[in-house]
Amino acid sequence: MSAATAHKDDIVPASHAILHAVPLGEQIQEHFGLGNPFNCELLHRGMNDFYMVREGGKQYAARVWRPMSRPASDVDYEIEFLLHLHDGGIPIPTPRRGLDGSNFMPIEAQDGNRATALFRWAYGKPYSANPTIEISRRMGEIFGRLHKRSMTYKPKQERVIDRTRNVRKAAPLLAELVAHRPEDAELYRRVGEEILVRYDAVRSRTDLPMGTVQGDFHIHNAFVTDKGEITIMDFDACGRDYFVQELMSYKWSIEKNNLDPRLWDVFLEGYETERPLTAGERKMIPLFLLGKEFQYLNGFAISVNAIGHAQFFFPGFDWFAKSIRQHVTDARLF
Amino acid sequence: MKKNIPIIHSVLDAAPLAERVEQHYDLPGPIHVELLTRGMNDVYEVRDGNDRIYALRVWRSVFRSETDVDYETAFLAFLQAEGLPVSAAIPARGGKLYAPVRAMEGPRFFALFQWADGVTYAKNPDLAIARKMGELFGQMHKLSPRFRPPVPRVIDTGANLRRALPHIQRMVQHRPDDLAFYTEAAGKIAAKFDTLKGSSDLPRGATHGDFHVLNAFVTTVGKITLLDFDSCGDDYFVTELTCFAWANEYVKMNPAVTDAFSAGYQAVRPLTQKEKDLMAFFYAAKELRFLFGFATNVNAVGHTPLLFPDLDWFAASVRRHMKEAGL
Repeated sequence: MSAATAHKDDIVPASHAILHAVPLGEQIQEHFGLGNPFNCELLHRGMNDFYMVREGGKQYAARVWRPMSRPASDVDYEIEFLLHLHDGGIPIPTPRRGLDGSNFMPIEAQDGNRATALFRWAYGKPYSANPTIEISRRMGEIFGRLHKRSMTYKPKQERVIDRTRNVRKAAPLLAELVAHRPEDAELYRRVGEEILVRYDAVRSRTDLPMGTVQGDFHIHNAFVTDKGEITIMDFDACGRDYFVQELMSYKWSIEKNNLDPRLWDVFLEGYETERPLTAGERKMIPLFLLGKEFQYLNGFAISVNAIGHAQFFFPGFDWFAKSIRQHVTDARLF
Repeated sequence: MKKNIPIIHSVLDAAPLAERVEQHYDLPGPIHVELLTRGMNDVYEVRDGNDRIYALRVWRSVFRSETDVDYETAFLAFLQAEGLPVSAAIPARGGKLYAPVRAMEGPRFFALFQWADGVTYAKNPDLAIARKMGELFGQMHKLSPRFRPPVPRVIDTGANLRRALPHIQRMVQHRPDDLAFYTEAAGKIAAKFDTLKGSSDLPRGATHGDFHVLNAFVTTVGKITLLDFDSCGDDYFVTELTCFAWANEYVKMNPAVTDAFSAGYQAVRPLTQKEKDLMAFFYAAKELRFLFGFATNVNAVGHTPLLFPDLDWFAASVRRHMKEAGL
């Protein structure tokens, strides 16, 4: 039996599928009211897919969400948050609304319903290409302002980042992923159980300021031009969370990529020129750092078969086994 | 709701793919499949019930035909039988070296390859290893006349450039100078290839087709495995050298790596005078082939697997190399 003659019922379902750029571009052009000459081409397949859209000399980035990855209310939340930040002078890829005033274009694709949004093009290169002290400090300042600005964001519908939900969802998937490493499987089971208890306990605290956060800030999620202009990217994971938890995301990415620890020090210095941390927030750093790391591992377990190791910049199970143990000790988890 | 946007490429879900592996391959269960990378094709890690690991490649639909897959897997089996360190395909039930699978975008094929230990050569570009790799390619080309492919797979770069021209024209439509230049460059390169057909002193045979510093794995004790023969086929041998050299320039690799590879190669198979004379031409042709291939495949794989090509960089580089080739 050749592939061409295999029965239709034998079709293997997809964990992720790419839309054809040309018909997608035609619909983007119409929905967002773009002129000619026009071109749409696939730029990057990540957790979502990005397309480069050209309209004459202008350039935009179109993001196409994976099917069912976010409800429409989450997309609205993100786009309106970005517009709120833009109005507050925070350097982000400003969304462009559709001709009908909509925040995004809904698509019915072969593999399910998707959303497409259009953003101003961010020039420059990822911060990770040249992670300097000076830019790190300025990014810290930007996040301080971003968090202050977020306090005035009034969403139509709340979007809360619930880390415990992901831990529960990922537990069986993570167990399967490390089934060939029984010691790690046991470690992650214990960490998962204990993290749930600790995060639940934190909910009653009143000394940990919250607001809308970017949700996944790391060294690849800022673009920097030759002139040092910074754009904070990718608010796909945004939502209401502890501000200090957001900072752990960046701190952890510096550790994961084995970069100069001073990058974190100056980032925090820059941040605190805008919004000093409370004593309670400082005490939470070890637990929230572990929480971030475990969240990444859980996200990997949930999405690896849609994204792949390479796209995650996955450092390997040996690396994780060592790093998680260290952070468990630092957080005195058990 | 906007409708009817077709899928150009899908990533097959790992669990049902594991079932297809069990169906087509005689391996001890349970079979675990995990996605490693989405590149020009998709590659998964497969672990069988005895914890033995394999690399599973699922070719993209349309991108490679069944005869292409047949040729590649047979070539790898031949090279391994001759003692070259390649990652060959494991026979499926019935003896074929690959199996069919249907995806939502159309028919595809998959194969299980032996796992290659080590890390990519690019992580530690040692000159002695570069020379050794050059020697291996010299041996491969010397063995090539003995390879009897089950089906032909001829690489006709001139024809490929002509076929890809509409894709690059679409990509650079906002750059009128490049639009005219690439159209003219493709015509000149293709015409030159036409004149080379049947040339004596310009040997050809089965080649890897896309060898670069990411396509070899090397262990800590210097054991080399040559990988990813996805672009293999009958081509001019000299293209293998210009391909490696150009890719090194593209990723800003130490030029000594290219020199060591070339020296190793020529220690086994010295180049003819005609090959030496045409080196600049084949170099320019490789660059154009990469750019046109990028334009052809970009909407299925994006910029990432091709390291985010920069049109400004290509505009300058292709012009320089065309000039150096006297074109």
